[in-house]
Amino acid sequence: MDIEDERRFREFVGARSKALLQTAYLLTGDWEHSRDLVQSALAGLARRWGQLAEPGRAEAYARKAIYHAHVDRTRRLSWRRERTTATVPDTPAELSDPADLVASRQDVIAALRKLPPGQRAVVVLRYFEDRTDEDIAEVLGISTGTVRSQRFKALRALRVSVGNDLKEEETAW
Amino acid sequence: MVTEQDLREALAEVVEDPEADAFTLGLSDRALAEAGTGSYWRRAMVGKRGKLVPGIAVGSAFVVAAAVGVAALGGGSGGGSTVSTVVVPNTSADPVGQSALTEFAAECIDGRGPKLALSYVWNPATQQYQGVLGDVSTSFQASPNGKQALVQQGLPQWAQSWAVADWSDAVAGNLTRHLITDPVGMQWTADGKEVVTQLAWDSVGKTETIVVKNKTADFYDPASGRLLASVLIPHQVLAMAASGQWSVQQWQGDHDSVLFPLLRSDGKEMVFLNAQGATVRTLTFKDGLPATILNQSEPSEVAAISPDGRYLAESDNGQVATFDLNAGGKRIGTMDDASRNYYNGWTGDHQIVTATDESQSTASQKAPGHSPLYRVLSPELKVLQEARFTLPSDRNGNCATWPMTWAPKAQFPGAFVP
Repeated sequence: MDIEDERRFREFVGARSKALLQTAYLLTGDWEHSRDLVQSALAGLARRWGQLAEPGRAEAYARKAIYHAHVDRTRRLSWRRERTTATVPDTPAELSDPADLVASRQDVIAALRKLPPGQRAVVVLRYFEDRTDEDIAEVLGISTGTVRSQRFKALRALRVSVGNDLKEEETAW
Repeated sequence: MVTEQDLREALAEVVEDPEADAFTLGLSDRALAEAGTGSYWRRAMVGKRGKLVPGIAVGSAFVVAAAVGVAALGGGSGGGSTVSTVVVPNTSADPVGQSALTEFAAECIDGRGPKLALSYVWNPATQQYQGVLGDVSTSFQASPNGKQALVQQGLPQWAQSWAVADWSDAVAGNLTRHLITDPVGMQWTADGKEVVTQLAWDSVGKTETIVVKNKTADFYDPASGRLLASVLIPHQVLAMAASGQWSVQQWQGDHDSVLFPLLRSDGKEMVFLNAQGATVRTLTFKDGLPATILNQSEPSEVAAISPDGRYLAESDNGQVATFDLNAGGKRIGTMDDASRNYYNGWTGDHQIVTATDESQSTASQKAPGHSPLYRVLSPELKVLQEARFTLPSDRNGNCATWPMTWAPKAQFPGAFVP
C-alpha cells in the first residue's frame, strides 16, 4: 500500500465506518462484538486494498466480510438463537400512544435478535439497507430464491414473536 | 398493525452507538495494524482489538503540561542475576521497552472523519514533542543506548524506507534513507550495532493457520545501510508456527549468531532455535499462562525477557503474565484487565509500563477527553508509580494517541517518564 492508497483507505474508514458499525450491530445485537467485526473487516479490506480501492467495491467487500464473519462466528460458537414458542404475546392491535410505539419497536428488535443469523442478515439487508433480493443474494452468496424464502421465514417468525401481523408490502416470494 | 415501514424505522432507531465517535478514533490505524499483524505493532499497540486507544490532545507542537511532572522510577528489583545454565548467543531483552516516551502517534477527528495519522517525536533541543510532517506514518526508534534513531517511513508491514542518524539530526530530518524492497519493518538488534528486519506473520483461513511472511532475517549496518547477512528462517520454525501450538517471536542476536524463539501456546515452554533449526536453549515455566490468556483465539503471545535476564513477560491482547527464571520459572504476576490496559514492555529498570484509558464515553455522557494514565509495575505486576500524560490543548477531546517508542530516560531529560 503506497502513500496514496493509505490516504484513500483512511478516507474510506472515516466516511463509512459508522455506517458499517450500525449494520454490524443489527446483526449481532452487541456493540462490542460489532466493533470487533468492523475492525476485522477493515483489516481484511486493507490487505486487499490494491484490488478494492474503488469506494463502491470497498464497501461491498467490507459488508460481505461483516456478514460472513458474523454468520461464521455464530455457527462456530453455536450461538443459534432460533426458538419456537407456542404462546403469542399479548399486544394491542393498534398502537397510537408514542410510548406504545417505542415498546413495539423494542419488541421488534428483540424478536430480530432471536432469528437465526442468516435470516437476520436478510432482514437487515432488506429493511435497513434497502437492498434488492438480487443484491442480498450477491452479498450473502446465496440464490435469490433462498433470499426470498429466508425473508418469508424471518417475517413469519417476527410476526409470531411480536404478536402482530406484519403487513407485507410485497406478495411475490 | 406493525408494517414493514415500522420494521425499517425500528431498525434505524436502535443503531446509534453512544461510543461510535470513540470507536472511530484511530480505527484506520488499528485496522492497518491488524492487517499487518507485524511484531512491532503488536508491541506498540497491544490493546484489546476494537478498544479505544488512549487519547489526548495535540497541537502542531506542544510541551508536556507542567502539572504532569517527571516522576522518577524507583530502583530496579530482582538484582542482576542471569540465566547461565547454557552458553548461547545473545538472547537479551526487548530493546523497545525503555522508560522515557520518545514518540507517540495521534489521530484526530474534526467532525468529518479521521485525519491522517501523525507522529509526535521528542525534540531534545526544544524540549517539546513536535509533529512529524508528512502524510505517511513515520516512526523513531531509539538505539538501545538512546543516542541514535532508526527512522522508518510507512507502517511496518508496508515500510518504504529506513535511516539511522543521531537523534537530533533525525528529528531535524537530516537523514540518508535506504529504500525497503521487501516491505517489512526494521528494528535495532539488542546490542545496537545492527539493524534487523522485523518478524511479520499473518493468520490465514478459517483455521487461522499462522504463516510467517518473512523468508529470511536480514541484518544491516546502521551507518552505511549495507546488508551484512540474510539468514534463512529454518523450516522447523515455520512448521512450529504453522502448527498453532507455538507463538513465533522476533528473532534475536546478530548476523553471526541469530536465534529464533518460540513460545508454546500454553506458556509453559520457550525454545530458541539456531539458524540450523536445532534447539539450543529451553526455558520452562511450570505454571504457564492463565486461562484468560489461553482463551485467545490465535497463538499471538509476545514474550519479552527483562533487561537483566531474570524475568519473562508473556502478553496477549493486553493481558500479561510474568515469570521468575531464577525461581524455576514460577509465575509471579498476572494482569488480565485487558480492556483498558496497554502493555508497553520492560523498562531499563526491569519494570513494566502500562497505559490505561480511564476516560471512555458512557451511554449518557461523552468523555471530555482522553488522557492516558501510565503505570510502572514491578515484575510481580504491583503498581509502583503512575502519572497521567496530559497536554494543554484539545479541550474537546477530539484526538486519540498511543505510545509508539520509549528510550532510556537518562538520554532524554525532560521527556515524559511515567
